[in-house]
Amino acid sequence: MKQAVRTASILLVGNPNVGKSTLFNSLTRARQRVVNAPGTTVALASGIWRVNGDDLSLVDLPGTYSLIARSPDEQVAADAVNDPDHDVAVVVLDATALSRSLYLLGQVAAAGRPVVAALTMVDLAQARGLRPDAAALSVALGVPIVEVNGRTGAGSADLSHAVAAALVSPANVRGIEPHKHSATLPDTLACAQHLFDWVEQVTDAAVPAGEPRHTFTDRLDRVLLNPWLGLPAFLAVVWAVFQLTTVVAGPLMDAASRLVDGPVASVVSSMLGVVRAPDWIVSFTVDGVLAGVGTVLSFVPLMAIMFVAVGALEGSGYLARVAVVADRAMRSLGLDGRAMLPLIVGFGCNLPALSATAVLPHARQRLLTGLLVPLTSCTARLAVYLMLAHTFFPSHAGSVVFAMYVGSVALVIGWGLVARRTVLRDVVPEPLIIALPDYQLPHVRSLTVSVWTRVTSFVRKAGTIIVVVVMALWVLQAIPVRGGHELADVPVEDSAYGALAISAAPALSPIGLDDWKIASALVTGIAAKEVVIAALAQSYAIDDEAAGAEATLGEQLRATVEQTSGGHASAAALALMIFTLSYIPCLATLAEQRRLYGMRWTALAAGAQFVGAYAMATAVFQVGRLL
Amino acid sequence: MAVLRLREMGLRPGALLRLSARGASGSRIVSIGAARLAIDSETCALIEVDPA
Repeated sequence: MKQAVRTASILLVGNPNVGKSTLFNSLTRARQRVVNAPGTTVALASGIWRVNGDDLSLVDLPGTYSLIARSPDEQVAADAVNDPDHDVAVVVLDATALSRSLYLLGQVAAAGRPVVAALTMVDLAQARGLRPDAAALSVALGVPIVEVNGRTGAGSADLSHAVAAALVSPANVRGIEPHKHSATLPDTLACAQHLFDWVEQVTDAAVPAGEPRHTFTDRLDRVLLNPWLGLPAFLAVVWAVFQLTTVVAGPLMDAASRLVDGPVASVVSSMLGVVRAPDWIVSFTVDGVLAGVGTVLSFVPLMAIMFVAVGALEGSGYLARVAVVADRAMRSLGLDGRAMLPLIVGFGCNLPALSATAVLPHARQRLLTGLLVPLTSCTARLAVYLMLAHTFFPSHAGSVVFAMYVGSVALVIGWGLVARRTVLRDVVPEPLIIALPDYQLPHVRSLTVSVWTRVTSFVRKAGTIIVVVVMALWVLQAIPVRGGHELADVPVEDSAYGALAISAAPALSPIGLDDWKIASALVTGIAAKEVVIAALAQSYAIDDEAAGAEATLGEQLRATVEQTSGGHASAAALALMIFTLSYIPCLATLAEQRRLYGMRWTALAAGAQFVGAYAMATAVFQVGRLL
Repeated sequence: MAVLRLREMGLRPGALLRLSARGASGSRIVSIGAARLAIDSETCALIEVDPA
């Protein structure tokens, strides 16, 4: 008998797309957080569920069809179920796919976990004319069955009572003998066969025989999975997501940063003025701390929109169709068809693309896709290409920019193939066998809860790093190293930052770009690619508000590159564009990668990318100047 | 392993299935009871069906 001294631990187990997370959100509401499963990068939602006045810990395990795991995510589910520290497993049964759900329930019972079953999707099974008989099911299984609906909250109270009862007197599933998990293949297959026979008996007792009725889902699938219409339909969906992250998120991001730069900054500086703070403290607070906070805040609407889009696609049931439609295209990289979505979103902005990798069910696939995302050329880099192309290739600017996008796609494929042959050999194309859930309207309340949980996790973990690095950049730019300037009132060239750029510049000579102003702009580009042009203008001391500023900047840059490249400005400019495409992801992307995949993978990928970009840019310049 | 996964997903010897649609690149959408599965063409080749 358990004493009340420790919090009882409840697992939520089920197939993918059975409404498990909706149920989780409905049971825990906002009392939840994202945690990594021990020793993995698999993120889990863990929450507090109040049952009869007691707080229980509830863990939402990754959806799986089987405890014979095929991926790290499924392994996390299998390990948790096999861990005797968890008191009760709530197995979510999908009424439209009872046989598949019962197989998992049988495995959980065989692992020795006390089981309570929650039956979901009853309305959808009824619409197909195949509603299971919950009472007969409960008799056949010998454990309580509770009909629940995470969308309306119906059945939550009954589920609490059933779990409370199971904590006191755990019931065993009829016909399943708990036994030690065996690792040998023949044993595994024999166990599976035994479970299949057991599942047949139970379903015969509880599910009516008969033909399923055609529903709205069947009619919609005729279009969305059609060999000819499926791909255009998918591209239309991707286009809509793309618009959301650019056209809709853009003004919101601007508003967030204007709020921090404008009213917040002026209130803070006038407050500092009242206490007669020295100028450098005002500058540090406004241009260092607040600038960092503003950067993080401006990303919040973008991340939230992306999480909503991904959640809505998932909740509607469409995402499973994407896996079918884009299967062939992504398989050469060993990826699921769903990986197409984050990779396309990356062309808008890499940061929400990392969020979009959540569409992939396997941790290794999410890792590979997340490491490839920075190679997709985001719109911030487009601004750099456009300026360089207009300056150096005025008559072919369009073609040159287009070539950058072709290069970006080639880099994704190239690095993807390299990664699969080296560090991610375990990412292999799997046969496509996927359950297609019924289409449903996404559930707004549940969606809001998960978006909130994910955005706060981003702000806490990635946001902190972004603020710290922006502050560090301010410090470098504020410290005068020569010329006898005041602290925080230094021309770039005379600051510690300028000294760094000057010492880094010779490294760019193989690319024909040995110039501190270019080096400095590239270093700034690590913070954000949007500011590369502004940093160049600042180094040339051009007032970017003045008329014709861009043309002036172009002329000056052209003069510089003519000189550093020894008269081969076009080759050097092309090399600079290629270098900009992939030399290093921006700070926000790096911080988010670190949050999702850990420091080691982030550093390895960024390092490989940098070396690759340096080698390619050098090759382009060295070959180009001979032509 | 693909065969075990098919069985775990409900496609077991003796199961009654209905071909509900054809998807892209030779994939098939099949219904088993109220559930639907999408299966690619290579995996479909592993499945033997008799008309019921």
